[in-house]
Amino acid sequence: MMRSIRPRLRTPLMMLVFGAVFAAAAVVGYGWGSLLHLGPVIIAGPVVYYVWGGRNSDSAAMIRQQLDERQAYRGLKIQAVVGRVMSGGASIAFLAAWAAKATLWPFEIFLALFVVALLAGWVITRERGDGRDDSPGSPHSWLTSRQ
Amino acid sequence: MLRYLDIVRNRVREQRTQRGLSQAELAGALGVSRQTVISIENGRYMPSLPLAFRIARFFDLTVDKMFDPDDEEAAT
Repeated sequence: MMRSIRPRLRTPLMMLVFGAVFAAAAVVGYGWGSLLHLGPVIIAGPVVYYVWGGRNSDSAAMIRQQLDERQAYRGLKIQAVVGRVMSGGASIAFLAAWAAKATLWPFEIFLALFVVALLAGWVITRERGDGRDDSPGSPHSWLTSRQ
Repeated sequence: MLRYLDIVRNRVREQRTQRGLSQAELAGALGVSRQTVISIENGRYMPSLPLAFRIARFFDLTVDKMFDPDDEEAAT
């Protein structure tokens, strides 16, 4: 179903759907008055996101999910920065919580996630045969001698 | 670490202007964004090998004529 929706519309629609669910939960919990605060944000967010996606810029291309190689590379670098900041922040927060003798388990989850994500990234991006020396005389020389 | 962006020059802007093309037209022909063409021309982004070949073929040049690591051609 999502494939039939234009890429530029997908994220704003998802935002609207989740916003509507959140708004419904807020109405159930806090009454109709809560919509006065939530409504503008829930509607304006997707609209701004959609309008921004029509611009001629890297961020708009990311919104439209129509990235060329430089923009995709830039997206990866942004993700790397986010990952470093988040893992660094989680480490600092863990140390602060440990020093303050506060509850540690939420920070331990973040640190565990960091380790799991690192291992998953390592496995997902590995290249088979990586690092094998196939020059003549080496244990893997058969790789080239058969050609 | 060797910063290859500092030592590899390219002739994209020179070739584009010689042919009277705008950055947007070149970007459309190469299937990339105008921002990427600008980054390549300014030497801020080194294109992948497939894109380098596309650029060179578009201008009827070889990759080593288009991207000069020694900057010998550009200096002459």
